[in-house]
Amino acid sequence: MDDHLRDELLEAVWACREAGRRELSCVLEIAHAEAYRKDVEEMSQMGLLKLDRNEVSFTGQGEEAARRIIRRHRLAERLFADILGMNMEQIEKAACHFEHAIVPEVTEGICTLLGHPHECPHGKPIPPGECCRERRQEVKRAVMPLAEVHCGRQGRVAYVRPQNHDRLHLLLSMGIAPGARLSVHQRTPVMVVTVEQSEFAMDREVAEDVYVWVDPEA
Amino acid sequence: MGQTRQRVPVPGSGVELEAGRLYTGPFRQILDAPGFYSLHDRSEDAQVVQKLLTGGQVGAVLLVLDAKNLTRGLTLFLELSEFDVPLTLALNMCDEARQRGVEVNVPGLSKILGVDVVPTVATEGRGLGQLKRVLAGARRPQVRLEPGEAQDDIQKLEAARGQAEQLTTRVIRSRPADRATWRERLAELSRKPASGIPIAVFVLFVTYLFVGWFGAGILVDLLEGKLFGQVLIPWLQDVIGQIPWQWVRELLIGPFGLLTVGLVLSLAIVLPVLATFFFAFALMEDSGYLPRLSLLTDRVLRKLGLNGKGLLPLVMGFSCVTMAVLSTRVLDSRKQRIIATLLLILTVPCAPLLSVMMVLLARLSVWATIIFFGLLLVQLFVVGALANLLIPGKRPDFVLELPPMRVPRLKATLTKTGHQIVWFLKEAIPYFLIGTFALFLLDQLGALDALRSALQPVSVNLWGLPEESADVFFMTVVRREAGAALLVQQFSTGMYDGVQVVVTLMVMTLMIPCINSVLVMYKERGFVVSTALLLIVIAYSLLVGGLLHFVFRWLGVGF
Repeated sequence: MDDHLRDELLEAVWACREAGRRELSCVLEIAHAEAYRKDVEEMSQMGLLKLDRNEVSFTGQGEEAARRIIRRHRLAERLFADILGMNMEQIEKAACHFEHAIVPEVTEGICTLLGHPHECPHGKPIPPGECCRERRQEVKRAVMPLAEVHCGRQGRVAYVRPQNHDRLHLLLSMGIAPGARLSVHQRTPVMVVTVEQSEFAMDREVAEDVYVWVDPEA
Repeated sequence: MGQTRQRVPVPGSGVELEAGRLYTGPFRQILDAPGFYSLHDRSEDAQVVQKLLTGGQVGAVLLVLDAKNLTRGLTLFLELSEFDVPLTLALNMCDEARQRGVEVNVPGLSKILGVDVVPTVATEGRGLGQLKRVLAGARRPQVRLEPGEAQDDIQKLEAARGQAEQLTTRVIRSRPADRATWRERLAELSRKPASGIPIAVFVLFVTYLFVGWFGAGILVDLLEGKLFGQVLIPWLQDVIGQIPWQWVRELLIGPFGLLTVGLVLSLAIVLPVLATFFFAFALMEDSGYLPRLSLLTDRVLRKLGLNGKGLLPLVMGFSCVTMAVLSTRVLDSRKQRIIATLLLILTVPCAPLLSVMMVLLARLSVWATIIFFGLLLVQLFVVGALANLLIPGKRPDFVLELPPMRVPRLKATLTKTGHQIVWFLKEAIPYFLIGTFALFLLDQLGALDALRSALQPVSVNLWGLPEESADVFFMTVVRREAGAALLVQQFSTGMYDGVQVVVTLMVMTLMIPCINSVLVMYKERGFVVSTALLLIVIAYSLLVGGLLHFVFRWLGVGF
């Protein structure tokens, strides 16, 4: 099962639940992808859904995953409607793509930018996130070059600047790629960074090209 | 895994790889391809592997992956899947992965990919037996790279990585990592400047004790003085003394005898020093210490136009300049390779030369040693910095993966040392014999005198050396340490004073690389660059030799 189908099914179960329905047929009908009973069964094996005869419900893990997807989707809708002024049809299409593409840090940033909205343009509730509970007022500069990240901080690779082709290729193939978790251990005489499970030394110039979502301080 | 080792060329690449015999299924030979991160990067290593894969000679590929970084490994797997060769996967460093909380579902992975997957810990030999058994059944993977609309190599790599990430999530389970072990703490200490620099000094000092004092002192004494000097040579002289033809006796056991000089020099003086050096070096490599040393020296080496990676060839040069010139391949740019080659050929004395040198310097005042090595170090920096200014080209990126530190396994380290020694002796012994033979011929033909007078304007007038130093330089051309050994002999007869010894050693170190390293340089750097480097080296050392002579005499220094 691919990630896309999984996300679509989670969304469908959430939407059915909002409508007060739990039947499998409702879920399969609402889903934005071609889905069958066996897919739901597979997801119950993965521990995301519970399938009881023809009734579908979430496990704790599944509900949490669905919440995040719905939040991303509806925040994206708000963004497209309020800031970009797109029409409803365009919004739906764009949001479907967008929800799969953004990392948690961006979600928080968008939510804060929009002033922690409660409903999507269709009037459905947007599940609150960390930033809403903290009532954050401004978007912190979450992305910065690795060369500026302090010792002991952790984060995730946002992107690698593509100007230098060989450098980009080398970094990507070493696993220093968007999404990879990293932590900074040392800054002199060169940077020492753990990316996923591997430790790397690199000079400042290289680290200037790696942009990182820095986790908030614990 | 293969038994006998040999080196075989990769067609069309000018590169030789290590090969071992293998009797598994249809396979006869296993080649040790260089390590690389992506098949499509521009490194020479990746290109060699591409040549191999497209050459039609490869029956199967054994892909050895780092188990703790599965996404990266599977990205490479997907790149390989495009070449349509049968594959087997070894998931190496499984112990490290487990420590870091990474559990791989091995049967699951094997089922998804459609090839055999064997967890291994290569340093401990774990999983190798199973690997040998399943290698014959290598299959074409059922998962292939889906490049989608990828156009260039970067997009393709991104596609492969995306696909690999999805595969990884299906077979990996993470739990919290074990607490940091003492090895991780040691790794941290050895890469932080405050603790790392003292550690580096300590490691270098212990290495010096092991190689310089134990290898060059005690072992050489045992082998040369006791075994050869008191047992083998007298016995050979007895046996060969029976041969009726005088020229044969001269050839084998005369003053330039193949056995008494050629073989003794190579086996009794050079071998023990090299063996200890190779062992110490292998220990540093196998423990994962060298990369930490590299990063500490990055900043200094930048001044010379190199970066941290340049440390490896330079350190190796103190073992064998020839091998070091070969190892400049690990450097990323032409500029770096040229600078490293120049520094190696010009300023780095190899272990054999160093050991004979120490014997000589020990007979002079301690200031001779300090001034000699001080001057050498100053020149290394000056020449490097100048070369950095003059040779065009950018300094390439320094990105180096730091492998986990581990306790080296003695058996593996010894085996490695053994292979290096065998390889070196195969290459070196012929040169020792040829050099000795050439001296023998020159001596017999009376050409040595002619050579001495020909060199007189330089040796006597410019450098202020005795006429007989020509013999030393000639022998040095054949092999550096053989020249130095001859110098020891000449010094004992009272021909030289301290200043002359220092000048001779400096000129020997600077000017004359051994034939082997020159050959390798021509092969690696090409005709134009190598000739230019040689001319620079010769002109430079003529000058420095003369300068040293006049400055020492003017100051009235004596050692």
